[in-house]
Amino acid sequence: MQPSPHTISLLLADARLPSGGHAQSSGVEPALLAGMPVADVPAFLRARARTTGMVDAGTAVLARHAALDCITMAPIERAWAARTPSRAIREASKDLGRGLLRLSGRIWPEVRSSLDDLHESPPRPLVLGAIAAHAGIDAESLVRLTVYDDMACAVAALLKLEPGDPAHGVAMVLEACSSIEPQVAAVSSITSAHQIPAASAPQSEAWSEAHALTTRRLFRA
Amino acid sequence: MTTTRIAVRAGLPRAHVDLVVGALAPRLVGRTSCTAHVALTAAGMLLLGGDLVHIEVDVGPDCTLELEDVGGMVAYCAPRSAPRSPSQWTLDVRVGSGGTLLWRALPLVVAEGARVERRTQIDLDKGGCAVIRETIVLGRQGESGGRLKSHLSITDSDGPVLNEDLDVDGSFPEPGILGSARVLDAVIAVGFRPDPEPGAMLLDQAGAVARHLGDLMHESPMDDVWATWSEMARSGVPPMTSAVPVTAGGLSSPRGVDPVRSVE
Repeated sequence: MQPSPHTISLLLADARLPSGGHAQSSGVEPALLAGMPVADVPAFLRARARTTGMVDAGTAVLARHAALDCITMAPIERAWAARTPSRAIREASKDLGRGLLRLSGRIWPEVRSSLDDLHESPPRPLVLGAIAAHAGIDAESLVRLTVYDDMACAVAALLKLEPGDPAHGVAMVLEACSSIEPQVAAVSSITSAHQIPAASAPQSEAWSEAHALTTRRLFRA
Repeated sequence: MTTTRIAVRAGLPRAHVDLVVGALAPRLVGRTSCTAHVALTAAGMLLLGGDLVHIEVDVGPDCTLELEDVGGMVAYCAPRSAPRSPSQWTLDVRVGSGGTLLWRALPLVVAEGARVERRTQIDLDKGGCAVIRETIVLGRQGESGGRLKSHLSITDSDGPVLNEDLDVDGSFPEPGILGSARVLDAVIAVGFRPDPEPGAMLLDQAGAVARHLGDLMHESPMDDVWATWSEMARSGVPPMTSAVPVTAGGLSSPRGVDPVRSVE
């Protein structure tokens, strides 16, 4: 019997999923190392959700369409890369994509074929989109999953970097995720690459680039 | 709205340069058979609430166009009669195959209460490249600044190279976007891979973006990045030193008086 798409959404959002998410801080460690006060983390997460989060969510939605229609994902990867100018952020996303792809090789072997025309390490949103297509996850759930996973990763890292009340972290995740609710319907219904959101976060990009060069870090990005 | 147009095509003995005065007045500074150097000044009071500014730049195959702003620009507070009416600034650039655009833009200052929507589209044909300086300052001295929505889209003959939508409001700084910085000074190089400068981001396609985020314009190291990258893009074409100067008397063309100016 097949697991329900809902169960698979829960699985993909679970921090215990062995896909390498534990090595990422979703930009939080770069921000804190650059001197951003911990008190700014909630605002940082809201800003990240509406910028990087929406870029990735829109990319994942299109990747899901491409996998369902068996069409090439190369233009989607290029559109995502054009919206992700920081190489450090692109590399972090490819690390996560590689981890998800390794996992999906065991669970959904057909996912690899949807990504065949891409580089060896497709970025996270493309792999998530392909998994969503094969596992029956709908576009709106995929948008929420893409953003939630990134936010949960950020807060899990925050608790290691600046230990505090975990319940406060949970509240931050929920607040950031609910801040993008007004955009979920629009992003989940895009059908072509030029509609992928392109909201930019210049300061976070600069922090990530600097972080990639430092040896004093716990997380990859 | 009259479109400001700057177009250059290679020609002998000198390149053909079309200059159309719109909200901006382009003035020819010099040219050779395949290069042109054009200065841009405001043809009238800019940038007021509700203004629609459209600029078209067309760089012919194997030509180099060097554009230089003569003064920075302040986007002023929208008028009381239409407080929500934004100023719109649209730039459409085409760089032909093997062409080069170098645009050393001066700062756009978004004053308190101003609302600016800026849309920049740059299309590079095969072998085309561009180096653009882009500086945003939120607010004049002592102000927190207005609202800017800026859409940048750069493509080459195979697809997108860089897409960036920046949505900022000086009254509501966001950590990770610009934080508390008032100045975003950037140099964007596309169509070639420039030498990496400290802090510059290498794009997935040929190109790079260097940025400075800070409080004061004069602290920005982007002048040096601009000099290095624009020189790299310029190399390979005849140097501008052989440009033929144009007499000052033939240049002045106030807004509305002589809307079309074409230099053979």
